Amino acid sequence: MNSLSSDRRRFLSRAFNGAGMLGLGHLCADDLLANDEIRNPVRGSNPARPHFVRKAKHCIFLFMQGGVSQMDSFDYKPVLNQMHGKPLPRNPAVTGELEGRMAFEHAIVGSPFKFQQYGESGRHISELLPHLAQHVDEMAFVHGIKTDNQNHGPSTLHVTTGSQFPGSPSVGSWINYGLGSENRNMPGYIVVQDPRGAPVNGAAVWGNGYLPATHQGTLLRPTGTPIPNLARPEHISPSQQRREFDAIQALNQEHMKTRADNSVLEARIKAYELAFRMQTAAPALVNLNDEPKHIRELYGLDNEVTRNFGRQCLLARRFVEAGVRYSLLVHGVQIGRDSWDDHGNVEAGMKKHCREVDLPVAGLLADLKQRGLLEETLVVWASEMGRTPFINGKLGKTPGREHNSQALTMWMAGGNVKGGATCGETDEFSLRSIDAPIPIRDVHATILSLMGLDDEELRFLHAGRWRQLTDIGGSVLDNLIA
Amino acid sequence: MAQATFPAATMWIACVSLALCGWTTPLAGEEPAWPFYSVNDITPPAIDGSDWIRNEVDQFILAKLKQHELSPAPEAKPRELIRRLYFDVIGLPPTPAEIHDFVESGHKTYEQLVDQLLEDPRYGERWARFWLDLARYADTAGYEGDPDLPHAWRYRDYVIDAFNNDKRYDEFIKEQIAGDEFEQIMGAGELPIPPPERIVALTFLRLAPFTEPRGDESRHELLSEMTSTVSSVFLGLTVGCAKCHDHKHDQIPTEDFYRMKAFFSTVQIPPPARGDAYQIGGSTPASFYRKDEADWAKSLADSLQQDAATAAEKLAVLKTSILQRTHQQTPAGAGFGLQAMIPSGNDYFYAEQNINDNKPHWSIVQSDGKKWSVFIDGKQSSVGSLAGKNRGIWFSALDKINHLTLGQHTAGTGSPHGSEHIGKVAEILIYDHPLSRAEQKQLSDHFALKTGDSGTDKNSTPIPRRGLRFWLDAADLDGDSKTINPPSGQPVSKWLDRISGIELQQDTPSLQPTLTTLGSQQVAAVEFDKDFLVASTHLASFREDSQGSIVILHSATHDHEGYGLEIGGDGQFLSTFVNPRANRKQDIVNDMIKSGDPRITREEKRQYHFLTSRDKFVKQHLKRLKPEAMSLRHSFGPPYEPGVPESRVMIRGEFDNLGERVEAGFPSLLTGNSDPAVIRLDPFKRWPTRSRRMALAEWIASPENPMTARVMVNRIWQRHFGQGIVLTPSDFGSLSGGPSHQQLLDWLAGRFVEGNWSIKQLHRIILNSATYRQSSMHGNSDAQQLDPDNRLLWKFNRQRLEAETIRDSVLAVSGRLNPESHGLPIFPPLSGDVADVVKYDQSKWDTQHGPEGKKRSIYIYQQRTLTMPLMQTFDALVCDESRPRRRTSVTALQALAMANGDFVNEEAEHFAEKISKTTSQSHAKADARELETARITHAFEVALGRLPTSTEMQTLRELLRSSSSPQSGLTAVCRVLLNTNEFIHID
Repeated sequence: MNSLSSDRRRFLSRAFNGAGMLGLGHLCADDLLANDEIRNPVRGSNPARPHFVRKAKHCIFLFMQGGVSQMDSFDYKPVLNQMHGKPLPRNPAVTGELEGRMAFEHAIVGSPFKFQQYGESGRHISELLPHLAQHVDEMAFVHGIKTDNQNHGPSTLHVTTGSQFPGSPSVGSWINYGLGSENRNMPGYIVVQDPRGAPVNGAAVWGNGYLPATHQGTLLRPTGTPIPNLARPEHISPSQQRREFDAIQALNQEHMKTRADNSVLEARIKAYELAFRMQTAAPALVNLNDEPKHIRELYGLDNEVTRNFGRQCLLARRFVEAGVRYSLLVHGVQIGRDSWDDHGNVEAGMKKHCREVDLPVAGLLADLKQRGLLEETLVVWASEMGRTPFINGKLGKTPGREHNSQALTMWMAGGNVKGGATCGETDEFSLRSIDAPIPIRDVHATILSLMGLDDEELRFLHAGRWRQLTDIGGSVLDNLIA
Repeated sequence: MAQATFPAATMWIACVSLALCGWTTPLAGEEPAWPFYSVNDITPPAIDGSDWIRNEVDQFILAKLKQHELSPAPEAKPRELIRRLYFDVIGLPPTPAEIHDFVESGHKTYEQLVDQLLEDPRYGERWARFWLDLARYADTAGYEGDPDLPHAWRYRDYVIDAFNNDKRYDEFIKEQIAGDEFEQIMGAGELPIPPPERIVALTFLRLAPFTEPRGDESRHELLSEMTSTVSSVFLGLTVGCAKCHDHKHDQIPTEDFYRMKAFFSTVQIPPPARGDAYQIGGSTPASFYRKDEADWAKSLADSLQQDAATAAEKLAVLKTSILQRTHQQTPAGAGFGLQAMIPSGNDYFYAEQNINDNKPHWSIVQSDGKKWSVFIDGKQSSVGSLAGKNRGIWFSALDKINHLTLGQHTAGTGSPHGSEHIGKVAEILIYDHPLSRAEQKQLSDHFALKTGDSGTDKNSTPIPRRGLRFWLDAADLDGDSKTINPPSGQPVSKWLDRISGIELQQDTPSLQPTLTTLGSQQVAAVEFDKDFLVASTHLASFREDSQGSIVILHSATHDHEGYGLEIGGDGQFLSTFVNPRANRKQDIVNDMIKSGDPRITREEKRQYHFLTSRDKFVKQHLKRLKPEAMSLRHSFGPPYEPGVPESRVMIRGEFDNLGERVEAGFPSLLTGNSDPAVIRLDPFKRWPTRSRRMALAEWIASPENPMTARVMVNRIWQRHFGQGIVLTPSDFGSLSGGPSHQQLLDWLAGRFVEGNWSIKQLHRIILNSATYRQSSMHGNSDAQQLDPDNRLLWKFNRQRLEAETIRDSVLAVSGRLNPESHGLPIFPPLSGDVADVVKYDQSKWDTQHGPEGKKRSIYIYQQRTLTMPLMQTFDALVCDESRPRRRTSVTALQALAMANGDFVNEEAEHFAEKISKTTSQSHAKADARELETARITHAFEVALGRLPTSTEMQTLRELLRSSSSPQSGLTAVCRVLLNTNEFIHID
């Protein structure tokens, strides 16, 4: 029989006795005593470590809810303007949902936006993203990514958790599971959602699935106390609370005296101490008042349009500095004008969404770079799907674009990302990949690889199966990696 | 009849060896490996000379302990045992009286206590939860919009009943897989309708997350999910792996997955109800069958409807009270103004004069044709703003005048236009010239006498009459001084101008203002609350005026308020108002609440949200109260519906990648062959689509099935001891690590089947064993070294309570647990600002602050996109897939939830109040110190089931005394007790 639990205890006692090593919120970030259903040999009780050496220690995942129109942002297709209003030529290779959409009346929608080449890579970027365009040589693009479902719910899960069905751990959970917490002062995985509302599927987007609960994303509140129950109740003074915590611990010590095998009880005693200290440390991290004016400007904090996402991006930088492993920033909500789901009037919609994120994301990249943090931070831009080059039905005055699960564009920057690189190419309409589509699992395997994790090694035994982020295994997109 | 044959399997599987447990991998040979053969008769090992043994379970356990030269721990103390039994069997702590009764009086034996608890209806509320985890139970479908599954709760009640009534497990299986296929069909006639309970039971197959359907692909996914869930829940086989490829570890080829899936091929899911935007599929009629359930549903529906009806009234009262209170607290911000939206631009004048004090004020706005001036309460306004370039334009500048309204703003349309005008208008006068100082003085005296305390004769000073074109006097609604006004509170449908005879009227009752009074002199006034009166203006004589005055006697209650007189047409208008901000506010109170106005109390905010969302929630609840179930049935088959479709392997699990044809059949791993299952159709073959699932269910529920009883026995064992004999309850395959006590598991499985599949009987055997009664406090360094995970059970495992039990126990201890069982999902308050953050989800969470929200946790609404944070912190999750086991983590977030969270703090207060009350009665004559001791002792006993030691007493006494008052000190003591390790760990 294995003796992992005694290992656990040794680890515990090491952690608890090495006072200096143990920071605040250790237990918040790391459940030291998760009684995993199966002793997982991959990680088990051992401190996590990367599988191979990469520069990136942190990941910031920017998720644009609704389906970003790739041909109006990063995937330049001038043919669309020449064929504006015409139907797409018949293409027998088109399958699935797109086949159905093309069987119906439709009209090509040319991009209403001008494109210009930027940087040494000479990549065309839409006029909607003038600030991001300045960083084009830092970014590596993937075009023609395919997910298995063209509805928002499943495709959002597919991009954020590797499975279109609920119940799987999110990318950030896997990375935290694989790498553990770097600095244990904060949760290893923080989520800042759009203050205007939740993404589709809600918390499933940052869920831990079958991984231990400690790997779930901690949703940061947009206002008030950043972490649930962090604030002491108003009617309890700090000294009163200190006395109460002391009393709890005194009773707990008394309780422990008569009981053998105390590791869980001890851990819980520590959890209370850490909780007490976290009450002051965590709010400081999200307090942006000490940021100087030029930083506020860099992120667009004082501008009504960019303020929301600017705040999210600036928080992410602070999380990186604090050693938070993974930050998920969601822009957009599941439905309505604040979603990137521009079925109607893609011109107005894209103008609005891009203005909200262009400056803040560019500011984030610039700020990370000037602090030397971009080297150790992987920044990923994603959405749940791309959009079609056409509108179904009549063109109308303000045409939009439909869902397209076969032509999602994503980009990455920082860490070992090879700036200026491109993977995959869509056809002249940006309808689908010219070659075999790039399955989202390949992108996931690449993200893991950039974080120093081997997709095939990072597994968890659940319900009789070794599960992994990419389900059946993904191929790393090597030419994105420097 | 389905062939329930289990011949010797010729295959074996590689199993991970667990030498310590004596589970060795069989070598390749003819005999099937454990557990893939039917359970044989097992004789418990004989043990000589042990008085420790209480039943056969102990023989197995002790034999194995002896093999390793270990001995069992001593029996736990009665006080520990009763606590253990209560939490384990009914999921709630024993009361001090119950403990006393068992420990001290000795009236009841341990065995009697076990029997008593198993008969307690709270048993079902505890044990159903573990089945609901397996059944991936939820009240919503997940995904986009997370739509409601309105009738899922009936399945939850079905499961509670099944446990309480000790429904035979084989019956339980068949009802959930094939509840619609029980009745024999011997001849012609219509298809029998299954009893409602079985229709409800079938909800089991409908509980997968669901999103927008996509034809064959969705059907493939749904049926695949049914297949893998049925297999892992009932058989402990993870056939789901074989959906895409042959099982990597167990002998489950891909064909077997599709052969099993073929049993579900005639499933007919009811189409979605009309108007269901999410298309999650409909429900099936299933009348209320539980005792008194129909009456309960009816009376609840009635009271909900009543509830919705009174919500509107209550909301109005609440708004008024908020407005009245807030203006008193901060009498600032409101002023009087005039706006002229004319062809040359939008000009307005506004003077901030702090007139939102609910007292009468009178204002004059006048123009001499060159410039505007404003007087409030007789004083010319010196502060204020003039926007635009007002050139003194008066009515003549409006191209068209076709309305004259009073009350709500209309923005030049003549119809109420989105802005809130609330206030009391007593008198309006329009003159054709700017008023002279003398005229103003006259007006001032008139109003002062009329509204103030100085005068008695309200009409002693007449108003100036020169150039008076228009006079609306609320004291005289019909313009005839001889008739008496209707009493205060009456709706105003007409208001006649005394001078011009213009009649302002309102025929729509909901838009009619009411008569009220103003000021200490009770001057007649008309109260507007989004209401207005309108008049045709063709008779008005002020059309040509380029100069004039508008005088209004009014009152305002708060600074967002606006109301006034408006004259205009075609988008142009001239209007008076109390606050320009009112023009862009829809609803003042709503606005204050949204903006987090500090003057709104938490309770008011709660009330407001409650009342404004009532209608929507009531509709949702009424839907839930329909006698329906989220059920399914077999298709009718030709000629009405599709017949039995061809079943094919779907290569790599892709619905459009068809492989070889398969027939419905059982896993070859268990039967040793790939023969098609025999499906017994009715004699006339009228319903060729029927009996497929029943064939599967009967095979699963057969006593010979090697998996079914073993898997269930192991699940029950796991819940009692914290870990199973097989560690992975839903996977008995090679990755399980094998059983720690194979013989014991087989013996228990045999007893389970022999005992008519009675789960309660199984509990009894386990609970009455000496193994179960061992102490958990025991230290044994040899055993610890050899078997740190205690798989040999040399002691009892201390267990942390599950999330539900923690919440239920806190409520039980505070005395606020609502013991009502069954019924609609409950919506306890969400801690902190969770509801604000997850805006989309808030729309479904009908927060219940009252007793209905304090029922046991099994009734909490299971919303797939929002697990209640307190529950989630303690490792509960709303299920998306079948969950065989909960984890128990230790995190700082748990400490924060218990120490700072609203729930525990609120209950700690009630706990302390309860303790104060009971001890004040029981220790009426005690002095302060005695009372203090009694209170701490009693609180300790209620929370932890024992008396405090002197050290503990000392700790708590010091805490109590350091607090600002004895009551807050007692609350602190209670809060501390709820936060102790002892409260959430069971020895």
